[in-house]
Amino acid sequence: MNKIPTILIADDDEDDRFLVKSAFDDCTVSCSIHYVENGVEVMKYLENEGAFDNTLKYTKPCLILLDLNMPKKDGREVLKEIKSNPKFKATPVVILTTSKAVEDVNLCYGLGANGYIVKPSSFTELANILKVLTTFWLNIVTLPPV
Amino acid sequence: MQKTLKLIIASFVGFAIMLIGLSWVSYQQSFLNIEYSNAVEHTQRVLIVSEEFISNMKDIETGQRGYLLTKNRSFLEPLETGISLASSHLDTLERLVRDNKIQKNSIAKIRELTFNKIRYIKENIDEVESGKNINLQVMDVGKKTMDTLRTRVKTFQSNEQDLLDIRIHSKNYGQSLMPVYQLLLSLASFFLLIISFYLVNSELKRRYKSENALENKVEELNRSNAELEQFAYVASHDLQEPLRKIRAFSDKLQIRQKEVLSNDGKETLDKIASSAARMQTLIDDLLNFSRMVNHKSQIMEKVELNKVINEVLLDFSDVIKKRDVAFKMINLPSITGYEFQMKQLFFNLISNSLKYAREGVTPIININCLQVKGKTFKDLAPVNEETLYYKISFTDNGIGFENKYAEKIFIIFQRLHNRNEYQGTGIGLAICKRILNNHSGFIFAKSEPYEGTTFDIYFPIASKT
Repeated sequence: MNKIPTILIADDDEDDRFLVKSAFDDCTVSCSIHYVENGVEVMKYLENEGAFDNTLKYTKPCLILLDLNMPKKDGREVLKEIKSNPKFKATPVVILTTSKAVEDVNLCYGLGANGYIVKPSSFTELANILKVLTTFWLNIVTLPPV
Repeated sequence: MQKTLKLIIASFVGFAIMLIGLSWVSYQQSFLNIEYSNAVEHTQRVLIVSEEFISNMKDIETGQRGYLLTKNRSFLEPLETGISLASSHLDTLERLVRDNKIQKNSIAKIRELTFNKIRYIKENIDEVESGKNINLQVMDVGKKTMDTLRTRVKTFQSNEQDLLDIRIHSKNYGQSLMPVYQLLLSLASFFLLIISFYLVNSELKRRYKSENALENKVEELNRSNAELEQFAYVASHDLQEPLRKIRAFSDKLQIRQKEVLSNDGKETLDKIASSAARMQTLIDDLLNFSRMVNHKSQIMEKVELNKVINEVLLDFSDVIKKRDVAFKMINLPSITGYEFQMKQLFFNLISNSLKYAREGVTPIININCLQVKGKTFKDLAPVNEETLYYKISFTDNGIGFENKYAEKIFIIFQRLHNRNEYQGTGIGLAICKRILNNHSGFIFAKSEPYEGTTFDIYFPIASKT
C-alpha cells in the first residue's frame, strides 16, 4: 500500500484554511490535502458526487478535520451522518473549532468524534498541533484500509 | 392619588353623617307619630267615659223622678248600681286626665257636685219613704246641682274636644312629614351610591391604566435588558474570531519572516501581539461578566463555602507557596446559591488580594464570618433592618487605596492603577458585585492606602420557615 494518504479538511473560513495550509508546509509527513467549505461539500466529497466525481483525484480520506460552525450543514450534522453511515464510520474524524463550550465537546465525543481540538490563537501552536496530529494518525496508529 | 383617596373618604364620611342624621330625624318623627296616635286614642277614651258618666247620671235622675211620682220601688233599682258606676266613672276619668291640671280640677269639681247630687237624691227618697211630703226646696237644689253638673261636664268635654283637635292635627302633620323624610333618605342614599360609584370607578380606571402602562414598561425593560445581555454575549463571542486571526497572522509573520524583519519590524509585531493578547483577556472577562448576567439557566443549590474556598486556594497554590501567604480563616457556612458564581467570587477577591500585595511584606489574608442583621449596614444599602445576613469579610494587608474610591472600584472597566503597574481589565470586581446581586446580597469595600483592604460581602440567610 504505497498510495499517498489523503486528509480532508472542512472549514468555511478562508483565513483559517490559509493558516492551516501554511502550517502544513512544516509537516514532514507526505500526504495530499483537500479543502472543502461546508458540510454539504464534505458529504459530496465522501460520496464522490458532483464536482468530486473523479475517484482517482478525490480518494477516500484517512483523516477528516472538521470545523463545527459552517454554513448549509454544520459540523455536528456531518459528524452524525459520517458516524451513522457504515461506509464511513471507521474513518477518524477530529474536530478543529473555535468553540470551547463544554456542550460541544460532550456532543462531539458522544457522536463518535475521535478528537476535539480548540483552534489555538498562535500560529506556532497551530503548526505544532498539526504536526503532532498528522504524525499520530498517519505514522503511529494503524488505520483501517481505505 | 392621595388627593383622590382623601376625596373619596371625605365624600363617604359626609354622606354617612347625612344618612345618620336623616335616619335619626325620621326615627324621632315616627316615634312622635306613635305618641300622637296614643294621645288621640287617650282623648277619645276620656270623651267616651265622660259621655257614659253623664248618661248614667241622667239614668239616676230619671229613676228618682219615677219613684217620687209613682212610689214604685222598681224605679230605684238603677239607682244603687248607678251610684257605684258613677264613682268608678269618675275614678277612671281622674286617672286618665291626671297629667292635665285644668281637667283634673274640673273632675274634682264634678266629683263634688256628683256627691252632692246623690246626697240630695237620697234625702228626697228617704222623705218619701218615711211618708212625708217632698221637700220642694231640696228638690230645687237637686235640680240646680244637676244642671251645674251637666254644664261642668260639657265644659270638661269641650276642653277635651279641643285637645283632641290639636292632637289629631299634630298626628296628621307628623304623618304627612314621614314620606318627605323617606324620600330625602332615599335620595341621599341614591346620591351617595352614584357619587361613590363614580369616584371608585374613575379611580379604578386610572389605576388600571397606570398598571397597564407599568406592565408595558416592565416588559419593554425586560426585553431591552435581554437584548443587551444577548448583545454583550454575541459581541464578545464574535469579537474573538478576528482577534484570534490577528494573533495567528502576526505570529506567523514573526516566525516566517524572522530573517527579513528589521528590529523595528519585530518590535512592532511584538506590540501587535501583546495588544491582541490584552484584547483577548478583555473579551474573555467580558464574556465571563455577561455569563454572570445571563445566569438564568443555572440552578440555585446548597453551596458549601468551605469547599469552594479550598478549591480556589488550590488554584493559587503556586503563588501562595512562592510568596509565603498567611491565611487565617474560620469555618464558613453553607448558603443557597450558584456554586460556579461563588467560586468566581472568591477567586476574584483572593486574586485581587494577591495582586495588590505589598512588595517585601508577607501577604496576610484574613477571612471572617459573622451573622448580622440588616440594620448594621443600612447606611450602605437599602435593606430590611430585621433580615439576617452572613457577613463574610476578606481582609488583606496589601497596598490598599483611598477610601473615596470604595464605590468606584465596582464599576465595570474602572481601574485605580495604570496597566503598566498592575495587570487587569477592571471587570473582576464588577463581576463580584453582579454575583452578589444575583444572590440578593451586597458587597462593600473599605480601605486605607498602604494598610490593606477589606471586602465585606453579605448573603441573606434563607429563613427556615
